[in-house]
Amino acid sequence: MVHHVFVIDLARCVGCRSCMEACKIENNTTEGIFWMDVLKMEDGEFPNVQRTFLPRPCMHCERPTCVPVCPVGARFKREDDGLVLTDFERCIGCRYCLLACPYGVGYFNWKKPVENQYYDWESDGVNELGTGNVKESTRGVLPPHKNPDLHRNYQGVNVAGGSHFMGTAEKCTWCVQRRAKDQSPACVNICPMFVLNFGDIDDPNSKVSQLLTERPHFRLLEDLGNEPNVYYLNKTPPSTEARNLDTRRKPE
Amino acid sequence: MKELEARIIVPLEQTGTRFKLVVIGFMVLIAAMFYAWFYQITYGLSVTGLSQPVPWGIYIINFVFFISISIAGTLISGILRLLKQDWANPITRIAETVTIVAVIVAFLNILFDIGRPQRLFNMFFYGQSTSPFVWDTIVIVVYLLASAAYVYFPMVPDMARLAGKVPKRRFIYRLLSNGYTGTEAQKKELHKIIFTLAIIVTATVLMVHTVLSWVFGLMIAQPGWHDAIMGPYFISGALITGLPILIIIAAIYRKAYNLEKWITDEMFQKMAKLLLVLILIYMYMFLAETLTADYTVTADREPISHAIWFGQFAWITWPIVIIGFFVPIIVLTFKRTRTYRNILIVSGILFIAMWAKRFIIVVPGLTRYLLPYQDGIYIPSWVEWALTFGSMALFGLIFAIFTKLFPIISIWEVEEMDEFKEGDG
Ligand code: SF4
Ligand code: SF4
Repeated sequence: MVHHVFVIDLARCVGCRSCMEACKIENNTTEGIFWMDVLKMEDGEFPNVQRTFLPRPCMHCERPTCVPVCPVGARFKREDDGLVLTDFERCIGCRYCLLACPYGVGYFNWKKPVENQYYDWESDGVNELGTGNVKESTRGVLPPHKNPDLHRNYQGVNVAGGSHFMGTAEKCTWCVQRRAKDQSPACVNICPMFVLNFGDIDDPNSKVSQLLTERPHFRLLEDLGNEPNVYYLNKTPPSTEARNLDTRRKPE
Repeated sequence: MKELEARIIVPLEQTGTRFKLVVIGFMVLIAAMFYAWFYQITYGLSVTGLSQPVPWGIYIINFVFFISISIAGTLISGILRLLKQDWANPITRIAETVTIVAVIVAFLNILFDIGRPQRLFNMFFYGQSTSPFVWDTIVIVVYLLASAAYVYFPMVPDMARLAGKVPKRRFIYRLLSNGYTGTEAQKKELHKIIFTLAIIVTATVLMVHTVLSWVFGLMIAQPGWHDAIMGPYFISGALITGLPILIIIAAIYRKAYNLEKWITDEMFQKMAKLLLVLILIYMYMFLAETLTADYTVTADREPISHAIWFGQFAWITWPIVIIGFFVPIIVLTFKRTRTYRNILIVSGILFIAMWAKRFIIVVPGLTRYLLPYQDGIYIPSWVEWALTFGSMALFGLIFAIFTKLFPIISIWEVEEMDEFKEGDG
């Protein structure tokens, strides 16, 4: 059976956040929701301070703690390829899965997605950012804000996210819609520094297997026993003293 | 006992202006609650203070709080009944009613909390046996049904007796009395049923609070919660939440309906002593929990402990410990300070302190991630406060209506008490 993993080469990451952008475009996520996130941190004490970047998709754990807590089975681990997905038509929005994930990768749709998009897709007026409506800012060329692949069921379940659903939980799907076509997740394809590698760990000739045999690596919070499927190359995990350099507000 | 019966019938037949004013007050708060809820359903949970790092807030706190209140009824009418302590008989009915109303309001707060309340039935169609939420739902439903039966059965003799005396409610009383006429065989049967139910509710109440604590305690991703003592901690916390509220309600209704002769000062003294013991037990649990978590802190727990005791949440924690726990202990210990008025004040303090304590249990751990993300903040919005006060008003209203429909003292059980046997019986 194929067993896909991410192998993330931290030594190469420059923190450009292209992967976050690619994810946004591919999955049409709303404001304040980052299925792929790059943590910008500073670690250590002066004068030995280091600035580090840590790309963080969902780990699609072998033993995901977010799955058993879901009261309705909306969060589930798919049998054939091990993806951990959310059934958007079943989720009751209790947000238990958000708390149960040690990696903090779960998100919740607090608002109606149309109101929470970067552009106001519906109205014709000028929005509060003063950037005008979509038509104005794109000179009449409406960007395809709907990714048709998201609006399909996969294996009979609505797991891709569609245009997102208010009041439901969601998280990174490893681009389940692209996996169906046997493509890598969008973030992997776009990374200019080839930081992100995606492949089959059971195949000894795959890039990921070779990287893992050649280079030292670690997984995040390994002692919790989630057995995450994302491996990081080269460095040690961020220390508990690491400080986040972003300020992130709740989307208004 | 003619006197008690006469007194009990009064509120069933006539309604005073004061009662109506209180009901109107409750109605206003409830209307505000529905407005806020409608607003929240329209615009989504973004109208609350909840956000990414802190996905659970005061709806969950209210849920825990109301479930905790519900223990009062079972303590007074179930556990004390099993221990053959019949001094509490005059307030058993108030106590059991508090239980049911509290469970209903707690459930309402879950509806407030979830993002898609209309899908709640998915719990029944797709319930996952692995989810602590599902366990919790099951025990609470069992508890609600058992408690409802436990209110109903002790009421049967009173229904039979009052059916002829309160013409307005004759039909419903006759229906509920279910052919009970007070023969020896029926009485024996009734006692047996009540005793069995007392065992059932006592057993389920322990499960209700333990399972509720597991909703939090089993989360390995939340070092602020992950703790084995959570079960007993929640049970004892519930006891000192429920009993003060019961004391307050009993005090209000004995005054409003002139029941001082049966709900006596001495009873309040007994409840106060019980409360003192329960607070001391809680302090013991609190110490055990706090020391385990905060003495040699793990790296994950350290920022949370710091936030609770010295940081962001210290202004809530210290008043809870000092005013909420130490002051009541001192006041209730000495006979001179344990006056009726002080008992009520202490109960009021505990009401607020225990709500705030739930806040300290639920929220601080959520503001910190295990990975180095930004710390979260949580400030409840007006919508959440409106729903909170609205649900408290709803609690008051349902209870008030109950007192108008049914006798709030169990007449026949009071008659069975020794101290009321002679005299006007
Ligand atoms: S990283 Fe979190 S959300 Fe993803 S599978 Fe693991 S526990 Fe679930
Ligand atoms: S928010 Fe949805 S997916 Fe998450 S635990 Fe609740 S019902 Fe399951």
